[in-house]
Amino acid sequence: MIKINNLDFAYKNTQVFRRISLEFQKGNIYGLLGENGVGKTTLLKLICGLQKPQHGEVTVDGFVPSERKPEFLQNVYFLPEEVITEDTTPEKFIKKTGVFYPRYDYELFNKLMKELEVDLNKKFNELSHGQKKKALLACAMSLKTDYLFLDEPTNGLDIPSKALFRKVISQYCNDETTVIISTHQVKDVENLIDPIVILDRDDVLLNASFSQITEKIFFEYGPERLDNAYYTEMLPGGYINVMRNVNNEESNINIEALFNAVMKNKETIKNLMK
Amino acid sequence: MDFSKNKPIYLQIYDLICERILNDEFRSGDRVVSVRELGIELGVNPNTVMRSFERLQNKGIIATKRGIGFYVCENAREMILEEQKTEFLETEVPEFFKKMEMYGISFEDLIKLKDNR
Amino acid sequence: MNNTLNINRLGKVIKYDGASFFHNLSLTLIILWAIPVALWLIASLTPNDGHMEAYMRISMIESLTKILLILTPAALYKSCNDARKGIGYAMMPASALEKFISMVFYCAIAAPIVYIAGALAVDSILALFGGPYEGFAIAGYFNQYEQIRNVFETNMMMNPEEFDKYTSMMTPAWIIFSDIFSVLMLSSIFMFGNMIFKKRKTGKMIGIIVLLIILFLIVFVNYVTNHRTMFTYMDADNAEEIIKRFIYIMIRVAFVVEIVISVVMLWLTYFKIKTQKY
Repeated sequence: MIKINNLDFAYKNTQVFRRISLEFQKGNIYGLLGENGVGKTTLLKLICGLQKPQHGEVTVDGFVPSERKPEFLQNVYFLPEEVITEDTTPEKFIKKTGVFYPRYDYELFNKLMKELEVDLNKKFNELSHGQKKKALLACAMSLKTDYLFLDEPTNGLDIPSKALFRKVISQYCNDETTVIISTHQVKDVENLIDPIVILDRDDVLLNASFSQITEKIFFEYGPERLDNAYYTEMLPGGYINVMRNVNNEESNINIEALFNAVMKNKETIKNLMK
Repeated sequence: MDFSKNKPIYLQIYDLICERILNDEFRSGDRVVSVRELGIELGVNPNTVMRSFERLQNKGIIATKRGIGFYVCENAREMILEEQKTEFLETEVPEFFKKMEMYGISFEDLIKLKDNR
Repeated sequence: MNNTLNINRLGKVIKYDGASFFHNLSLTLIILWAIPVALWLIASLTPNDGHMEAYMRISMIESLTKILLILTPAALYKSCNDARKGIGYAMMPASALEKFISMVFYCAIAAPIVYIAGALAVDSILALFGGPYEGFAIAGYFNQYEQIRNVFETNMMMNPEEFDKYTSMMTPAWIIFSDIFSVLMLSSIFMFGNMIFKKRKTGKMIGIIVLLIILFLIVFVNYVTNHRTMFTYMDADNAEEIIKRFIYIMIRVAFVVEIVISVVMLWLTYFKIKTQKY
């Protein structure tokens, strides 16, 4: 479990987090949402130990990430957004990297590379952006760490690859794993992420599972715009109204609409979800 | 599979399994596809699939057996049909009545329509 | 689980770093190996039959090794403190100590050994052809001081007994030991430079060293001019004696300074690996 308690973090002179606390429970695929620049990547870096909090604690299964102990690191993998072009082939890369990870599975790597249709003998810098991304995803998954952090993983993937990505992540997840996917391409990970964490400038607006959300919030798909809705948006064939769930009805979450509703009613929804 | 937008995904997956049972894809006593397999097939969060399975279990449509996983209960078919019938009567029929009224269709018209078929 | 040093894991780090060793260093090695060959060619083609003695060639190889030591850290570990490209290095499941040992192994041990072995092999092959290179360069290693002594002697700069007095500590063991520390010092300075600078790592470190030397010289000259009285007793008769004594002290001071700088730089490099943020 990842515990963040009273965390303060700032880069030189920009405050990123101010006294935030949140938890990530294992067995889940978290969606980390937020506008550009709110600190999604920074949060992942703090959890990985690439950055150190100025105040407060971050612990992962009791480990302090910034100590970067091997025992901690061998159970964590972070795939950054920017594709790093190692001057080597994915095959050679995974062979030298895999040895550090106790559950590393070369067969799985091979299988994923085949499924994702990446040539494993071409060098990273000879692959297209999408291919690189897929190759790195295959590498990340074959290490089979309990903690997997993906920063904008679907950027640059084509449509069939995105569908494949969802399948592959679904397959990755088990009772022991914690996957955190940071993204603003919500459509790509719809039905895959649950719970959802929404970050704002130095704050956490939401950290709730789908069932917790639908308990409190109702998504009405209808022919008209409703005035008492938190947020309304036109969809093909009608409107979606995000409202308070007063009749205790179950509805289907539209993550994009939820995100917009939260951004427009920060305090209201924060209090509602408490 | 394309999910529709106004029903929770877990209920849509619930419906999907009921449909597969009605289609005899899973017969009573058979092992149902595993949560994992279905999650991968649909590209959906396994926890969501688990929620569908829990509902199926609560309704007595599927049950768990040690070492096997989920299997289809003996009277699953009947229960699904019963549930769908109730839903039909409770939601679709009132809607249907509303539309009959709106378009001015009488019950006699309906009977005629049925006889002509 | 031992989170500080595990031999098995250290082996994995060494293997990991080694995977790109030749790939990243081959060009530098080839150029530095080619220089003695080029000199040999030039010497062979020019009409005068000047010889290059073994001790001169060995000191040339030594100088080229120093250039290699300066270039190696940035060639092998350029991206390890990069905010983006260094993430893989930081997240590699090994301790900072293991990563550090591997870094020292490649920069201060493997690279010079590979270079020197290659350079001596090249030199031996060239020596077999005859011409300007005579005898094996390695033979010049332990008698470098003897050679210098001969130069002194033939030029009447110092009588041989006195020279021996000041270089008595320079036994073969001492030569090896002091060379090891000068390698370590140079290497550790540039390893540290590689960890603190993000761009133009080697150039910046050289700049800093040059600045420090200039600063030191200014202070030194200032000191000497301000304490002229101390040196007033220096006249033609005892000047030589004082200079000799100065050299005698400096050899020993330099040795201590080398050790101190090496230790400090190595510790700072380790500390940077451990605490680098990305």
